[in-house]
Amino acid sequence: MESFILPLRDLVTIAPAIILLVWSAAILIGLVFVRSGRLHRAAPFCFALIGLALAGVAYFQLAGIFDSLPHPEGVHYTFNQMYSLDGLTLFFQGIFLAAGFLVVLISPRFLDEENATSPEYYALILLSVAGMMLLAGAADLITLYICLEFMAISVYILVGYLKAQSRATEASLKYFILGAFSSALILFGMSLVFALTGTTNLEAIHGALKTVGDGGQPLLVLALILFLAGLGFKIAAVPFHMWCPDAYEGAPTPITAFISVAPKAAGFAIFIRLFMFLFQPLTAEYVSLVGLLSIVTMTVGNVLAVRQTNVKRLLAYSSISHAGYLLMGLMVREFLGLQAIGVYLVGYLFMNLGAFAVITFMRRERIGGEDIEDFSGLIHAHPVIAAAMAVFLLSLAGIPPTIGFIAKYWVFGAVIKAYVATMDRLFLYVAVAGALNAVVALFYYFRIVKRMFMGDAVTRPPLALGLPARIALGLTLAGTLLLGLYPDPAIRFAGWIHMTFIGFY
Amino acid sequence: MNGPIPYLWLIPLLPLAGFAINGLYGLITQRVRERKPNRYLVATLACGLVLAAFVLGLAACYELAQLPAEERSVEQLVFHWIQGGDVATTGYGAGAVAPGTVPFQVEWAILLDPLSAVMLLVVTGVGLLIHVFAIGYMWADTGFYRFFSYMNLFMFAMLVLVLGNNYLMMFLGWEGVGFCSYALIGFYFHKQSAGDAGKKAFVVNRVGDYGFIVGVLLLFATFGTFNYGRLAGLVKDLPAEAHFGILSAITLLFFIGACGKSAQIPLYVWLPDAMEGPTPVSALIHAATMVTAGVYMVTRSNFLFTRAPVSLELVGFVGVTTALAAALMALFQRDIKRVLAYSTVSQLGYMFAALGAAAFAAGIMHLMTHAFFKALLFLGAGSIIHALHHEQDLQHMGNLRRHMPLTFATMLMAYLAICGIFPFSGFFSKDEILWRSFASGHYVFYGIGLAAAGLTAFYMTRLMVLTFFSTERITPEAKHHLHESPAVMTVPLVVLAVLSVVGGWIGLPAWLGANTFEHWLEPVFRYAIRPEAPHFSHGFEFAMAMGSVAVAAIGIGLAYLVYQRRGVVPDQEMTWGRLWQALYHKFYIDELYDALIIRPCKGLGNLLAAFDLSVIDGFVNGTAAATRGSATVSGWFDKYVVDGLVNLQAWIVQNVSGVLRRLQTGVAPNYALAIVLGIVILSCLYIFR
Repeated sequence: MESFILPLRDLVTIAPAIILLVWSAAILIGLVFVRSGRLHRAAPFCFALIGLALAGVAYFQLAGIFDSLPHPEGVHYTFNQMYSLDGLTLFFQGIFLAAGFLVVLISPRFLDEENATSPEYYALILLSVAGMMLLAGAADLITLYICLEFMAISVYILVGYLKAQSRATEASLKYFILGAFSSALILFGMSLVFALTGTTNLEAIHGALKTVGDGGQPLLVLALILFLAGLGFKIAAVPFHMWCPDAYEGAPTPITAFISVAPKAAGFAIFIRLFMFLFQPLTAEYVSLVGLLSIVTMTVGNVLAVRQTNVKRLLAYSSISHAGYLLMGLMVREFLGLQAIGVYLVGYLFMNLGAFAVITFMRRERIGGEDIEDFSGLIHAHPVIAAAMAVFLLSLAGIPPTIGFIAKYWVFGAVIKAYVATMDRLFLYVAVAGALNAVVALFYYFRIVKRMFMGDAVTRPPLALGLPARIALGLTLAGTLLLGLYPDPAIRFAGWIHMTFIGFY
Repeated sequence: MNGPIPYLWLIPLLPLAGFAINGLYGLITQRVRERKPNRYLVATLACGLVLAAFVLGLAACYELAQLPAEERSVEQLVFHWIQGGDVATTGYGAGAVAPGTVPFQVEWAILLDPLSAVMLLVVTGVGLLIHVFAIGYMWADTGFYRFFSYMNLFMFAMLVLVLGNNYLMMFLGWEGVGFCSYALIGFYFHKQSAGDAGKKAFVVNRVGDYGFIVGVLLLFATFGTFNYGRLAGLVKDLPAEAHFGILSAITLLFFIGACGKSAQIPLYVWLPDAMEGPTPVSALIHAATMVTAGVYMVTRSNFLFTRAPVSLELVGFVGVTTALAAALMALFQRDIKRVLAYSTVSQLGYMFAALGAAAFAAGIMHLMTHAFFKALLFLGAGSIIHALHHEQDLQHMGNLRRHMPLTFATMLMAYLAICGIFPFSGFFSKDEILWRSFASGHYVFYGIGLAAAGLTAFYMTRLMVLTFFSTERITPEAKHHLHESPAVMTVPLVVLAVLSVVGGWIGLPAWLGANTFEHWLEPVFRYAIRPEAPHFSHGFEFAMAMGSVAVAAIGIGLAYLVYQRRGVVPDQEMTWGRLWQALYHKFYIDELYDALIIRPCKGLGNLLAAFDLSVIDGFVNGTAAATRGSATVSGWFDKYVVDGLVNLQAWIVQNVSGVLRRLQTGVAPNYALAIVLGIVILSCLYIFR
């Protein structure tokens, strides 16, 4: 059978992920030989950056080719329809690489502060990024599941990386057990789909489902609900969010930043691909279920965030509510909704990573830097960092001229437009709930801003940012502000998502 | 970048960079590192970037002039600024412009045509000179960097205003200059009056801005575009509106905006107060550039205004009325800057009078010459104020020509220009306006304009005599420091003086040569509807011009007699009774506004408060009495029933929150249970739908 011979073209399409895999192996093996001194601390970090940079080069090559295609629309299969390199894949791969890069930049000082060894840490980040990159392009239920686990297991370990801390191990274990549970739900859903169609290939399923009569509909709805639950876990949608605050609090802060962005984006990548391929016949059920999930998610996330005093936990709940906003975009299965998700994710990448980066910097000597009191009067000691944090929080709250505003604008625009087109009241309710929640969110974000700007200055040891941290702060700040002023690149990049599905609706 | 002039996009960005760099540098140095920012660095950067913008502007205008006349409209798309969803438009007339749905899209694009070229050069050129002057004027001020970063921000906003190719960019610039004006009027924010003046300017401008933005949105709702070129294309075949139609409404709303920004009746009241700002600010923002934005806007919208005769007549009427009223108010002001402020209002009135007679080129030409001589007058006043240690009262000046010869000589040029003496620049531009008013049949406008010209000559002569001639009334302490200003301040004065003399020679009247300025601007007005002007002989036009010079000479002569020959000083004017009272107090307009608008607003607030106090509180008090009566009963009730209910509520909240907290216990199986419950609920929703 000729399909056993992999053409080089196919391998090229996953080149960035291959580079990351090889490189993480190199980090692990290579650093067996370097066991002491400064080199031992600095080398893995540098290696990880180089690996990500190489993967980035490969990625940009692929993206450049994609961008110059005369017809980039549609799905471009490789590996016998197991994988696809299309607009959706490339968009999310870009997000994952950027997230990995920024998280690596903010990591070294934190690890020094915690006195943790680092080769495995960076190798795991690279591995999980590789897993996500493959996941984004998975075009078969089997590939999809394997990549999902590949990513998730790396992340479970990262959450418990500081194994001397009991709250870290506890968080990791909880995350792992519940993650396994949610994986089982996804598998269950997949098996139902397989039972209905007899294939695991998404393209084939898409075709076969058109011929499934009303008899198969209940099963398909059950599969939809199981996917919603399983993937809802990955993106921390209520009521599948319970692991989220614990894991966020227990994980090392850079990893918190990482899991608040990358796996969530990965969840949405699968969400979009699965729902576009699988659940075409269920539009009405789909809209009502996702819409409901969206309202509950943002409301519960916000209400619980109001009382938090631990900033990491607060941002955990805030990230839950952001998942609710992202679900708003998912609810609109038109191209505008997909593009809105893209714009939101780009914005979320910068503003959320930026906010977590600042929390990471706050950790020093005996100060945890996680309590809201630790931010008191920060403007006096570190005006630039405080101002940057204020920008990130304003952006998270959705205030112009930041990318957070543009993101919310797109999501709301998509929902309102869907309402005008379909006159389905649910869209309106979701939009109203979103607007009300945006007000609630302002309150708790501004509590931090108020503490920083109006709280009493307390003498504390100064923050020492290294060069990488400064770069990360600069990049996230620039992304948050510049894209807020000139969102065109983000919007065009997000347009790649819906390019994949032209002709689907 | 694209287009025949590739560097256009850079021009507004240069001052913006100056704002960002100077602002950040100054802020960090002064606030964080607690050191003084390097003033040489700040000044070099601020002026250097404006100079760069000016040089680029010159080059761009040169390239523009090389193009054939009909192609002199260069647009450069920089990026797509706003991309929104579809908007339904109403269309115009009976199918003349069809209704439809258009996407709400706005470009960030630069438009360079003869009109914006003139504005570009005036803004960057005069702006550059004033920046240089300000180095000397502001040198000792602790807010040196703050001043220059605001000034650069202003330059950016003003350039966006004049270089944008659509009304939304114009509005952005419009708001931007408004903000900078507010920030700079209140520059000495520790002074109560400066803060109040800033607020007043902002609030009054808000009224106008509101009109403008409503007009812009109405325009979009009607035609579906903000772009000047596309709008002109849409309306070019339409006739003028016979009655008050949608175009009249749009242009009227625009004109409300222009009244606010350009200080016309009834929204002029903020400009005299704006003199609280540093003098270079008065020169740049409140004389030469920002206040002319309204004139630019009306001129830019010529294809709309000429199709709305009602609005255009109103523009002319408000213009001449303002010209006359402000000239009257300027007559007996004592503060040197206030005289100039009212004079600015009056001169802006002239410009609007020109626009009202559809003589757009004449209006823009007066805008330009006025920018030269009024900037010079303000800078000269600044030089005097600087020399006299912030003395602004004309009572305490006099005979300064001996102490400040250069300031005197340069201000003299500006004085002759504003009075309209041949062959200074003001003569050509002002006379062109009067002539056009007359030629287009607006005889009343012409008459009022002529009277205002006489008044202008009078109050300017009064100002010059009281400062440079007359008797020396300088306070001893000011006299001690009296000095001519340094070169950094006098060189801009000299340059502006040269411009004040020769600036008008590019637009000569027909009896003297060709009006190249009008010819240059002509392509901008190709879609305007202009009546055919009746033909008059050159001799008649010449006679009219001499007539206006004669009126100016009468004004000068009168003022000379009163203030130089009879040696009247401001303190003596007070005895002149009612007339003086009314003029000095500006016809009590501020007091009138206070009584008619501000007090009623405050009154309404007080009324509501009083209602709160008497009715609601009375009701409350009444209830209190009743409550006292039943206190014993309720005491018992309270103790057993109410307390019980409150405690019950607290008990419920406590328990619910306990339950909610328990949901997040950290026990993993519970979390899994929540997931399962979620699935069950979702399934039930489907089943029992």
